[in-house]
Amino acid sequence: MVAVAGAVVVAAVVSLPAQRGAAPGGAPAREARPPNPLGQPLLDPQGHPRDDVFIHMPLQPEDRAYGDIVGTTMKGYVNEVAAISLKDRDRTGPKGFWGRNQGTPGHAATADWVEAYFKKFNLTDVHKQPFDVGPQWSVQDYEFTFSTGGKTYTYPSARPSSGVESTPAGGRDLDVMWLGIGSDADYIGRDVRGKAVIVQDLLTPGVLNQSINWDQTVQRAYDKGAAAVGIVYGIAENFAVWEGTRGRPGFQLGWQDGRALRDLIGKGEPVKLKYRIASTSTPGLKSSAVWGTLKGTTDEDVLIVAHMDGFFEGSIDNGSGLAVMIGLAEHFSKVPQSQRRRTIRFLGSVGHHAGPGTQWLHENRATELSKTALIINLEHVAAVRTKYWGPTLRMSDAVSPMRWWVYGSPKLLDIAVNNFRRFNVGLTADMDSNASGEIGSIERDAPSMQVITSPEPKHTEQDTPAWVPAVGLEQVGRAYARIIDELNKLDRKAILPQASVPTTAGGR
Amino acid sequence: MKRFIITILFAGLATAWPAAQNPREPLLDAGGRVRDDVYTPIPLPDSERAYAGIDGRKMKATVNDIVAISRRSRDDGNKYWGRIAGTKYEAMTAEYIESQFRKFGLTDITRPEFPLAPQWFALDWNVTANAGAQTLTFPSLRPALGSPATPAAGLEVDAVWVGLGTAADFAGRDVRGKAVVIHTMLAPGQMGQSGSLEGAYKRAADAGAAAIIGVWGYYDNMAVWQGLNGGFSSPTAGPPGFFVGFEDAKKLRDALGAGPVRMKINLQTEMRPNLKSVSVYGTLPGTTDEYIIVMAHMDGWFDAALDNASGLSTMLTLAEHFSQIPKEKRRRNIVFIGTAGHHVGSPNAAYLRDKRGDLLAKTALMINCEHVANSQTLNWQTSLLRSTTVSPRRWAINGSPQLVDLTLRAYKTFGVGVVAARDPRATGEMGAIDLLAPSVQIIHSPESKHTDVDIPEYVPSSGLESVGRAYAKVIDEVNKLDRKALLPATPASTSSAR
Repeated sequence: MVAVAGAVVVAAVVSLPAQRGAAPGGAPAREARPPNPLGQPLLDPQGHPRDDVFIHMPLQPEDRAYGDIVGTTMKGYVNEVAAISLKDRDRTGPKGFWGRNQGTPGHAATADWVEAYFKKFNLTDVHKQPFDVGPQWSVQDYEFTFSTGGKTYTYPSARPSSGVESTPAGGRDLDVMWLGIGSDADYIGRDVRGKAVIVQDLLTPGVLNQSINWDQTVQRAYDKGAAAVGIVYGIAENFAVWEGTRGRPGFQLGWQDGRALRDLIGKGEPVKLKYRIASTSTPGLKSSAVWGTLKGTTDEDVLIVAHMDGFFEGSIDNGSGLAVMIGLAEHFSKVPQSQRRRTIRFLGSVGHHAGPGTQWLHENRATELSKTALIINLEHVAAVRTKYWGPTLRMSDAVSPMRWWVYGSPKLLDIAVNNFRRFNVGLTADMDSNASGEIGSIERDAPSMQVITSPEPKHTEQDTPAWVPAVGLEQVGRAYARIIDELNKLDRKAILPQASVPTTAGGR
Repeated sequence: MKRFIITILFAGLATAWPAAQNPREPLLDAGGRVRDDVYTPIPLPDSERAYAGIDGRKMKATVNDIVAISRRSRDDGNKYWGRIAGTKYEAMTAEYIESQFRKFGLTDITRPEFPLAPQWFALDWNVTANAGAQTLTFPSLRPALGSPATPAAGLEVDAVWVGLGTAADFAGRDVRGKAVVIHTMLAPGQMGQSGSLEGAYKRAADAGAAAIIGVWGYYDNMAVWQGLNGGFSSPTAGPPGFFVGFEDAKKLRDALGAGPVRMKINLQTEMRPNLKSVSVYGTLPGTTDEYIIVMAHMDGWFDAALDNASGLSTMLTLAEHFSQIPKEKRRRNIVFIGTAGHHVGSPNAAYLRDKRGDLLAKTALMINCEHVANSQTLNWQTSLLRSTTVSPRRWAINGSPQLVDLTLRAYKTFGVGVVAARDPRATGEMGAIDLLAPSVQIIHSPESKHTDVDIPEYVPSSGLESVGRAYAKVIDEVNKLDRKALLPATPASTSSAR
């Protein structure tokens, strides 16, 4: 993610408004310059921002109680979780569906990892809860080869769409056509029947919120008769992503590869695709959630959730959430039980990428959540803030602001917002209309909150620990710890939503 | 900045959420904008109390003062409004800067004047699209900077959509004599957009387009002043051009997807001769013959709160701060410059280079204050969400390793976020002269730059304050070092006099 920027300056007085400054990507340089001898002081040798350069909010004296929640320690947890994924890649091979996916050894190893930390920090009632996860898609091998003018081209970021069936062993051959951003206007004068359609996906900011979804791009392609849909993921870098095309034939390309293919098509010569996919859908698999408890002094509880599944290394999603959950478990395990008003239940949940999420809790809310004073969802809680610069997504020394959700009383809202600010957890200015992600099923079954960010690297092969700043983990961990402490000064009635707000929360 | 209510259903989840909204939005003001007091300031360390007087709220008030000049331009009936170079509104800005310099006791106040070549102005425009029985209008549409006018009677032509405007998008499309609509992806905006980077506008012109309409990004509905950057021999060599915000453009795009669209296009412009632009210089004398230069450009489009009221406010704050320090404690003279005509070629930079070599030869540091603080945004569907954080800035430093160290340390101490990889050179007002003396800048060029949403509400006080304090600290630290210790270590990378 190292920036490359040329430089243009118009120094003379000109007659028309001039476009000024260093133009990103491809603009001619003002003049040949040697590399700056000062180098890149904020980057590590791999070109990522060093963890120690991030802007750090100093811990105030009155918050010393949270000094044991340390970002570098939690970053170590992120690294451990990512290592589980990399071991899973050794099992599947680099073209496999690797990571911590449900029903796989990678997921089971993650559950073991969570369980081990729960036990290490003396949580009680540590146990696994198995779930049927339904048929699970995986891919074993694939190949995408484009040819034109007697030459063939392959692209390293190409991935089959998740959920697609195997091709015949000999593969399929299709003509390729570029369809811009895939709107109806792009189809005027284009006959795409039986062809592989390539469309540009606008990330807003990434999977789940992108133009192929909100503009119905994929469905439109099939409605027009496309035989397959190729998605160019975003406008920068070269992300390899797992993303669906409604279960129908399709594939994904990173921006750099997608642009290269697009320019091949633009030369006007016919471009053909030969592709082969070997995938399976395996029924009868199970995955387990992991529970652990820190007993309090009342029969009320706080529930802390972090989902365990993840694609690729899954460092933001959701190594970051798991790391903060373990950090909070360690912190509160050091608080004497006599000083813990409420029991804290920790849940390494199965996950939602292809499984049950927290639906079971919703279905059993009358027993499981009737005395819950707060649900905290730890999901994608820290990511490096970025800036687009031509075809580059430049990383910074700051942590990305989070989308957020609070459900409960105005008092709970105040506690949440004030503590996020206190510990420098940046937020979008307006609150989400719902809690997306793992607690989507139970967001109104009890008071709940989350901060979450879903940047471009999510669900991609580039979701590595380098994207998770230790400072960000620390900020979020400390904010949540203090929120729990502040909350424990209030009776549950003072935390519940006001009567006018629709709720399924019980036990008023 | 409106939000789209989303419902995401994950596989395995069948929950339908109640439609009710949360009753409170504690981070927004009554107008739905980010409250200025919800940004998180980094606490001022005890060791940095000397900078406590640099107050973000006061700096924000200065931004508002400068924006008021732009709004007067709008209220006077100009459709092409702002603190446009060569207009009386840029001159009013210069007067404001001069008055502040005098208020802070600066000396040697001068106003070098720069004659401008004839300047392009958009006088009036009207663009509509007829799609069946429907007539579309486009409130966010603005002429492309430098666009040629249409004939007085206007144009009436068919419209054609060409996606991203790449060669693959043009394949098989006959655009000759038509209004060509091109979607440009912002990366991040005026400084980098796919229409320019991919040569889309020139491709359209070469293919015989009668007019070019660029769609500005894929969120919100920004009105922007932006050139086609088409690689034409001159901007007026291409066809008439326009940019239109995403929400307006989506209506046009969808109409084009449904059937033929006929557009009526009228644009009247003029080339205005004999305009002048002035810079404003003021000095706080020090105790040596060396200098520190602090500059900020004065012109801007629309409110131009970020670009560049934020920089002007920072410069004035530094002037006030250092004016309160006794002369005998100021090692170097500090020259403050409100610079002329940045958007028409930065004549002040050439003036410094060509006419004031004596000054630069004794300059220990130049600071360019340009687009210094803006709310961090987050793409979310077709909206651009604001946040409670300040966007990180690009940065450039020309100088010694010590200068780099002390500058980055100051940024971190005061919470000035920066992108991790430095720019290869300074851009903007200092771009032509950054190697002529040790120099530093941070700069941010978001999607909203040069648009009608470059408004004060998205210039956070806390961001101004952190930059003001950091630059003050940089100046103090630089004044502990001899000029030689600030110069770049490698002669090949600088033209600085030694």
